Amino acid sequence: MSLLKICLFLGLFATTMFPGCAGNAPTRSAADGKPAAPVQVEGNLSGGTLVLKLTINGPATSVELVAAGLGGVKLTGGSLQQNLGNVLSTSSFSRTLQYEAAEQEGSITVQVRGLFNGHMMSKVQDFVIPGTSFFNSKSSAPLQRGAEGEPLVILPAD
Amino acid sequence: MRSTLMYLPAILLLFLISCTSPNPVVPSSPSVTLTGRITYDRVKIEIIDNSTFGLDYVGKQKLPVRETSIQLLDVSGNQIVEGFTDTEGNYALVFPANGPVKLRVKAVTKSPVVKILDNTSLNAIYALDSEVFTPDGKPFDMNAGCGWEGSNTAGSYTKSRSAAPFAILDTLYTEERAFLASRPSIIFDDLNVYWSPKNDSADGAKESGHIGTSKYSHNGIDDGIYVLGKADSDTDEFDDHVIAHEWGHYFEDKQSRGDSIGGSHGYSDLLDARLAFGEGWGNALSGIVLSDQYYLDTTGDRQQTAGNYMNLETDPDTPAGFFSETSVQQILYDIWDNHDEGSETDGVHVDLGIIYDVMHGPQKSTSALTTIYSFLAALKPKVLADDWTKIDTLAKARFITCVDEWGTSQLFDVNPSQTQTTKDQLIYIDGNGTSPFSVNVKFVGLSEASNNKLVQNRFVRIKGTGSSVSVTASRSSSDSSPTSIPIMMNVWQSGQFVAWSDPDVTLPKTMTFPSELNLDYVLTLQDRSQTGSLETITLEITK
Repeated sequence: MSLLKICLFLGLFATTMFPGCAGNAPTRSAADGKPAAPVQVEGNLSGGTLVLKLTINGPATSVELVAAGLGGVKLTGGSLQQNLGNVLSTSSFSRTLQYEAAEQEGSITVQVRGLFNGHMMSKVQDFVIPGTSFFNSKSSAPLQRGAEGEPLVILPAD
Repeated sequence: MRSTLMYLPAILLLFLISCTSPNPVVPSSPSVTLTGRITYDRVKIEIIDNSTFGLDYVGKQKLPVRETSIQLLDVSGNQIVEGFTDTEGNYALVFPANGPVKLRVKAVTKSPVVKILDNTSLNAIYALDSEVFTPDGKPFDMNAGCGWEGSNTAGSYTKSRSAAPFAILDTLYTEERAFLASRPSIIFDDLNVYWSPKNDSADGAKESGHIGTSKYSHNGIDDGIYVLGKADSDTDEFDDHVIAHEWGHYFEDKQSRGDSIGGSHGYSDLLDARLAFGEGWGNALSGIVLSDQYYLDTTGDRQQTAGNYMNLETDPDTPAGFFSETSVQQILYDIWDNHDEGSETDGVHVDLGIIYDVMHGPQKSTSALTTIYSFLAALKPKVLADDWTKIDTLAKARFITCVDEWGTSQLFDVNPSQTQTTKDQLIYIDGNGTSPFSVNVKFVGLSEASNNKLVQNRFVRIKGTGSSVSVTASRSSSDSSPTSIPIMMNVWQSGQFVAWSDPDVTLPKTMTFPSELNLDYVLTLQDRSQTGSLETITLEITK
């Protein structure tokens, strides 16, 4: 029996006899993020356009949308700061941003903030904008090694 | 040959004398002691009001780099001697004087071991290096600068952000010392923290810095705390409550137990009880260990935008309950703090050591899920009766009545609008009737992908019999909606995963799990239909 067949057999055996061993077995949370506003920010990038879909799980007041280009990415018309007003219940918004990519990889940062239950909360979502250059000139400096051979990132002191 | 043998005793005698002589035979350089102090720029948050605050670069302070690894190197980079700074950032290194040297401070604490690594540079350790210098008997100090130039609102990062790794290290040192002050014998697991100025809020590869958000990750690959560092978007190295909150998740994972199912969560959400406790714990702990009730998270252009604000003492927690992370954090914080606030006069102060005992002991081993009920039930026997009365009052003010770790007799409402108007559902449905027996379970499949809200998740308590237990889930005959819905079913025993069913398989479906006599098992059910409507299923349990 070939190694491939053995692997296939063991894989089938594991997933049929012990469903808890299967690949997508649910467990506890694998990552616990910091508190954020109950907002989903989704984006679709295509040829200099970022189409945003914002889902705000209200109620919330004084909701504001802020977007800016980072790392050389330019938003056509400059950074965006838009008042979305009060959101009484779960609501969706769509916004389209035009941008110019930079030579190297950059990003567009989007923030939705407002008063949820009377308290300031925000959600930040960044979108990576690939650079126009084929070559990446931002190669990192070579790492140094410590006394035990461990890789080090050296920072200068004042 | 004979003449050589004749001199042999004399040669041996000379050899022995040389070996036992108190003076070294080979002359060496005299030892010198190099002393000094290591500091970093601490950038605190300037708060105007609860929606106006940002990082105050202009008001930065030099704080000590405490109990952190320090090395002296020769000009070729070879280590001459190593040591640690003390609790004030001071160091003293003794070594043979032999020309110019370089001082290196690695972002690694002595004990417990915490390392700050760059996830965008092969997980390399951050290290602060001096220029080459020749010791002259004077103290040699070093400071890790924040790299900011200019005013808070018009300046920018123009130099290396050397202070960032040491700021994170210092917050975590403070947090661990708070516990060790009450329970010196705690042994914390080593912790890796990943920070980079490239770490942003994009989804993608962490090697490129796209970490999504600051988080505690424990999926088995490069586990640890990930911290945002992207300037003008979101940086967290100086947002000490964010760092402390994430350490709270590490604490649950390594020292206690956290059954939280994760996902996005916020202030007024009605959350799954496991998630509400985990997040409330993280928030409250940040205030406790930093002795600061204001949780602040800065974001945006020049880090001058108010991101998230919480007053851990007085924030309104409407709707209040076991499902609110705000209710949980206020109870936990009030239990610890030694003062009253607002209209609430709790008059109780529980030492952090006792909170540790609860979290490390019964909260870790409970047969129930980790919720505010398991915490309070474990706390009750560890405090005076008078104090328990006060704690019970605090909880009841938030509609939390703790009889036991199971939240027995606590009722809540399950409806699509998520209001708490008709409370008729128990937290744990009783799964212990005479076999076989049926029970109905109400859900709402909210149209949110996170699936972590109160009405989407239900629990069933099943006592083990020593043999297999079979659970068949099907649509209730009383349910008007005929469509089949995906339900995820998991079985847990004291936090250990026992069995699950594939959520992609729609109803009806059956799962079977082995059980031990008299052990309590918890069946968790999650409605993943995203229909937004109230649904009822029937469970038939056969033991």
